[in-house]
Amino acid sequence: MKALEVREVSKMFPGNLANDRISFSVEKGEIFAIVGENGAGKTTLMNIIYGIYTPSAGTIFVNEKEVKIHSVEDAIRLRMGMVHQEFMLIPRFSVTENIVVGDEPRKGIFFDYTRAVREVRELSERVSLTVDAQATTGDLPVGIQQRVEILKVLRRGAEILIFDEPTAVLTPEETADLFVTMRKLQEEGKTILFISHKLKEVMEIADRIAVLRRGKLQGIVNKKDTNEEELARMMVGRNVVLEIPKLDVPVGDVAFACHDLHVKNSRGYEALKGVSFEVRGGEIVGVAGVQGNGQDELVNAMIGFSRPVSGSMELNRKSMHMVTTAQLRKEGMSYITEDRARRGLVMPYTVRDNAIMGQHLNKPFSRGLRMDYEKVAEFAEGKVKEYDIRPGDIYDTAGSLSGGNQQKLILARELSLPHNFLIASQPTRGLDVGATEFVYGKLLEEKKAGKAILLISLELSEILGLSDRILVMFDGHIVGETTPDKTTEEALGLLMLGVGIDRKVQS
Amino acid sequence: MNITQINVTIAQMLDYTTPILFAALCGVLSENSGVVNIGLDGIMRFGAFFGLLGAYFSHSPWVGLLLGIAVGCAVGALHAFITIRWNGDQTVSGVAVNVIALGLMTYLLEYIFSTTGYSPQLENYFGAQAYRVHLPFLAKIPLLGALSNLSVMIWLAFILTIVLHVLLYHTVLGLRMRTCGENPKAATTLGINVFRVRWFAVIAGAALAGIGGVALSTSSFSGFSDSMPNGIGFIGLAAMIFGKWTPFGAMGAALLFGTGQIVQSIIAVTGIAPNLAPGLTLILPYVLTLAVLAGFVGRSVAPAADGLPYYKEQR
Amino acid sequence: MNESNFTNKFLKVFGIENHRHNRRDPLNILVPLVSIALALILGMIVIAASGRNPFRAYALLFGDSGLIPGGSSWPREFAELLIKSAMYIATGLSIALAFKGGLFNIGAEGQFWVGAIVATFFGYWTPVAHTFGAMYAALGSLGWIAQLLHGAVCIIMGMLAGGAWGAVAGYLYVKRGVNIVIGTIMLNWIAWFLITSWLVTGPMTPPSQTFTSGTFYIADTAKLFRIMMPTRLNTSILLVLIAAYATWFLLYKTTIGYEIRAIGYTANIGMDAPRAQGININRRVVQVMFFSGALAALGGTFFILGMQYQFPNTATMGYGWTGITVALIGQAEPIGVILAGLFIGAMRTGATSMQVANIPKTFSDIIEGMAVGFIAMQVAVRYYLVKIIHHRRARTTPPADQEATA
Repeated sequence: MKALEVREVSKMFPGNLANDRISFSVEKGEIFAIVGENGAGKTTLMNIIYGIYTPSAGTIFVNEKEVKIHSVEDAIRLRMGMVHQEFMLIPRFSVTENIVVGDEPRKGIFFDYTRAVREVRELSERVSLTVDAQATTGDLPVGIQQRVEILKVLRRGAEILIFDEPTAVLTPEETADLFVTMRKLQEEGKTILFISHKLKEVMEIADRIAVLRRGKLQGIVNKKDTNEEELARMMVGRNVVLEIPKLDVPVGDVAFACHDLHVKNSRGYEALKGVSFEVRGGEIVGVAGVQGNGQDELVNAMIGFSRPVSGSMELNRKSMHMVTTAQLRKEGMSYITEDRARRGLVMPYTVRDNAIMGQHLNKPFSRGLRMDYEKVAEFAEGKVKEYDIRPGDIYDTAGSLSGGNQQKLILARELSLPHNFLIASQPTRGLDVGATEFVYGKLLEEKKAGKAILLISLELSEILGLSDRILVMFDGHIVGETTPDKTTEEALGLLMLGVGIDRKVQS
Repeated sequence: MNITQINVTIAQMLDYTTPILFAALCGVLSENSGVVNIGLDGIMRFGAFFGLLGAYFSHSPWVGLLLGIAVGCAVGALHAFITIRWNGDQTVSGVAVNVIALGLMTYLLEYIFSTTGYSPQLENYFGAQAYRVHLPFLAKIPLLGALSNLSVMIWLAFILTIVLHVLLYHTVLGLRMRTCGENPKAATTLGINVFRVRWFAVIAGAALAGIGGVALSTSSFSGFSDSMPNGIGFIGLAAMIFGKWTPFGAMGAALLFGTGQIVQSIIAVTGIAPNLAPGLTLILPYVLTLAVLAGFVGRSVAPAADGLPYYKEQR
Repeated sequence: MNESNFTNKFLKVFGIENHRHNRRDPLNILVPLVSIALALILGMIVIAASGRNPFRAYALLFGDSGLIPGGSSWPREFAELLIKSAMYIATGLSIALAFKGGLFNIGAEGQFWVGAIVATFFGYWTPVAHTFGAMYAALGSLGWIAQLLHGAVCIIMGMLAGGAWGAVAGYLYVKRGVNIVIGTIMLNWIAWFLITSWLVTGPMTPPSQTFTSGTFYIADTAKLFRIMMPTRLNTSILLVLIAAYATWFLLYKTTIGYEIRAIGYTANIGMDAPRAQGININRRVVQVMFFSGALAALGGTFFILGMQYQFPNTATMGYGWTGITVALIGQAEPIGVILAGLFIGAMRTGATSMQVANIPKTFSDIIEGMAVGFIAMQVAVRYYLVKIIHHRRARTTPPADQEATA
C-alpha cells in the first residue's frame, strides 16, 4: 500500500520555482530518501507535505486517499510527524513536557503530569529509545534531544515520519544510534522520509532514493541498483564539477599558525579538541569535513568571535592571544563567510556603505571622525565595475542583490582590505555555476599574489580542485593531512567519516 | 512597637502589596506567552478610574470590580490587536496605552465628576468594614492577627496568585502558553494556535491589571486620584522580573516591594533611622530588580521568545 | 566664484550636500502624518461623545497653539510653543539617536531629570555661582561672557551626568545582558525618587525659614538669555536646533554614525555583520546610550535654566515619555524630530486654552497616545495606504495594456 503519494506538486516563490512538478510515492514501511544539494528544494517539499507551505499546484495522497493539507494540524491528523533540522524543543521544559505538549494527558482542564511521565516512560520503553523523562531538556546532549523529538512525533501516533537532515548535528556514534532507531521504526511498520545530502548515509539506510536538483525530480532509484557515484552525478548533473587550473606558486612565509587550539561551542561543549596547523603565503589549505565537526568553532576562534579555552594562534608570527576582530583585521586577516545575511553584509545598507565596512576608519574613506562619502562612492563605483556587481547601482541596498552578487560584494570588500591571510568559509555555498567560477578565479588570483588562504568547505570537489594541502577534520580533531594528488574523494570521504581512526588515541 | 502596631503595619503593607501584585500577575501571564506589556501601568489607570466609576454610581464596589475587569480586557484587546494581529512593536504599543490612559482618565475625571485631581470619596468600597473578610479566630494569634480583618481585594490577589500558578504549571492551557512564550514556532508545529493563546494571555493579563487598578482606587484608597497609579504598574513589572516570571516569585517580590513602600511609616512608628530620606527606600524595588537582571544577585531570565512578534510562515 | 558654487561650498562645510541618491520611501513620511490625522479625528469623536463642540475645541487648540501668527497673545503663545518644543525635541533626539543604534531608550525620562538636577546644582552651588558672579561684576559691560560660561558649565555638567546615567543602562546591557527597555525603566524610577524624594526635599533644599519649596534658586548668571522680550522665550530652542544638527552630523557624517547605523540595522535581528567587520559593538552601544542620555539631559537643563530657575517639588514626569512620541512621529530622523517636537509643543500650548471649552489640557496626551498607537500599528497603516494608493491609481490611470494599444 502506498502510504504517501505526491503528484505533480509545484511551489512557486516570488522569482523562484522551488519545486517543479514533483511526483513520487512511498510504500508503507519503507525508508525513502530524498537527496539533493542545498537549495535543491528538499525542505520546501517537506514543508508542503507537512502543511507549513501550501503548494502552488499538485495533489497529495495519504493512504491512497487524496488529502488537502492546509496546516500542521491537518498533517498531524493524517498521522504525519516531522523531526525538524533545528529542534523544536524548549530547553527549560522537562523531557516529558516537551514530548506531550499539544497533546497532553488531561484530568479535566488540568495537565496530568504524573500520567504524562508514565506515558513517556512506557513509550520510550516500547520503542527502545531511552530518555530520562524528568530531565531538563536543555541539559541533554544533542543526540538525546533528537530522541526526544522522535518520541514527540511518535507519541502523536505518527505513521509517516519525516526526518529533515537529521544527521547534520549528530556525532557519528549518534548517527549510528539514529539509524538503529530508524530501522526499528521501520520494523514496526512506520514509513520514513529521510532528507539528506550525505550520500553515504543515504546508501546505508534508505530503500529507495529520490534525487532533486534545482527543484526538479531527477529520478528515483533503488538502493540495490545504484551507487554513490551515480547519485552524485544525478545530484550535481555533471560528471566533472569545474575544471580548475593548477597553479604553481612558490610557497612563502607562515602567515597563520595555530597550536593545540581548544574551543568550546555555544552550548559549552568542547567542539575543537586541540588543532594545530599553519598556512603559508601562496598556498591554499583546504579543510575538509562533515558539517559540525568543529569547523564553525575554528572559524569563530580565528576571527575573534570566541575565545579559545587553550592553545595559541599567530598571525604573521605575532601572537593573537585574546585579541579583537578589529585587531585581527588590522594585522591582515580577511574573511569570506558562507552566511552572507548574518555575517557578511548589513542588508539594509547600500552597496556603497557595505563596500568599505571594516576599512571605514582608514583614509581616504574617513579623516578623523568624519566620513568622506564621496570617496566611498568613488571606491564603490570602481569595485562594482571591477567585480561586475549587478544591477550596478551603488545606492541599491545589499539585501536587494542576488546571492551571487552579494558574494561578489563581499569578495570586493574583503580582497580590497590590506591583507595577507584569507579565510574562505564555504565561499560558494548557495551560488550558481557562474558565481562559483568567479569565486574560484578570485581565490586563485589571491594565491598567485602570494596570499595565504584557508579554504573551509563541505564540497570535496572544491577542496580537491583548489587546495595545495588538505586537512581533514573529524570530531574536533585534524585526523589527516594529504595533498590532492595523493588522495581521492572516496579516501577523503572515509577519513571525514572517521573510518579507520583509533578512537582511543584521540580521547 | 506593640502587637497592634505591628498588625496595623502588616495590614498596611498588604494594602500596598495588592495592586503591585495584580500588576505583576498581569506581566507574568502576558509575558509567559511571549507578549511584553509595559502598558500595564496605563491599564491599571483605566481600571482604577472605571472601578471607582462603577462603585460610585452603583454604590457597590462589586460593580466597580466588574467594570474594571471589562475595561481592562478592552484595553488588553487593543494591545493584543496591535501587537499580535499587526505585529506591532510591543514596547511602542505599551507606551501608547500608557499615554492614552494618562490623557483619557484625566479627561473623563473632569467630564464625569467635574473635578480636578481627585474623584469624590467612596463610602461603599472594598476597604470599608462591610467588604472585609473577617476571620476572628486569627485575631488572637500574634502576627497572623493582621490577617483577621482584611479587604477582600487583598485575599483576591493571593487567591489569584495560586490560581495563576495552577493555570501556568498544572493545566494544559498553561503548558501551551509557556510553549508559545519559549518557542512559538515549535508550538505551531505541534498544532497550537500561537495567536489564539497569546490573545487569551494578553487579555486575561490585562484583566488582572484592571483588577489591580480597581484595588488601588476602591480598596487601598477610597477614591481615584489623578496621579494614579503613580508608577505602581512599573513596580509590578519589576516585581514580575524579580520574581523570575513566576506567580509565587512575583508574590514574594510584591510583598518585599510593598514593605519598601511603607518603610516611612515603619520608621515613624519605631523611631529607627528617623532621618532616612524616603527616596532611598522608594528606589529599592528598582535597584533590586536591576541587580537580579544583571546577575549580581541570583539571575532572572525572561522566557526565550518574550517580546518577539511571531510571524507564521504561511507563504 | 558664482553664487551657487559659494552656496555649495558653504553647505559642504556643514556637511549638507545634495542627497539626491538617498531614496526615501514616501510612506515613511505618510505614516506619521496619517497617524496624527487619524488620532485627531478620533479626538474629535471623543470630544463630540462628551457633548462638546469638537470644532470649537480644535479652533482653540490650534488657534492658541502659537503656530498661527496674529493676535495680541500670539507672541506669548509662540514663545511657550518654542520653550516646550525645545525640551520635547531634546528628549525626542535622545530617543531617536538610540533608535538608530537599535536601542529603545525608554530612560530619557530619568536622564532628563538627572540633567535637570545637576544643572540646578551647578546653578546655585556657591563656589561656582560666586566665581561667575564675581566675574560678571568684574567684566562690566562684557558680563554676558560670565553668563555664557556659567550657563555652559551647567549645561555641560548636566549633559555629562545624564549621559553617564544613560551609559549605565548601556553598560548593563552589553556586559550583563540586561534588556535595555527594562534597564532604563528601572533607572528612570531610581533617578526620579532619588531626586524628588531625597535631593529636592533634603540636601538641596534651603533652610525652612526661607519658605522656599524645592531646591535653592540658581544664580542669575546661570539663567538662559531671553531672546524675545517681554516673553520668556530663551535660547533653549536655538541650542536644541544645534543639538539636532549635531545629532544629524553624528549619524550621517561621522565614522561613529556609520557604525551606529550599521549596528542599529542588525541589532534586533541578531546579525553579526558589523562585528565580523571589526566594529566594536559593545563600545558603540555604551557610547550611543551616553549621547542619548546627554541629549535628554539637555532638555532637563532647559527645564531649570530657562523656565524654573530651581528644581521645584511640583515637577511631574512626562518629558521623556513625550520624547518617545516625538521620536516615533519624527521617524527617528533629526529633522523629523524637530517637526514632531514643534507639533507636540504646539498642541501642549494650545491645549491650555481648551480649558475654556471645558476640555482638560491633558487632551493632547490622548491625541499623542493614539498617534503612537497608530505608529505601533504601522504595518496596518501601510497596508491600507498602499491599498488606497493602488486603488486610486487603478481608477485614475488606464491599465498598462490599454495604454500600449492606444
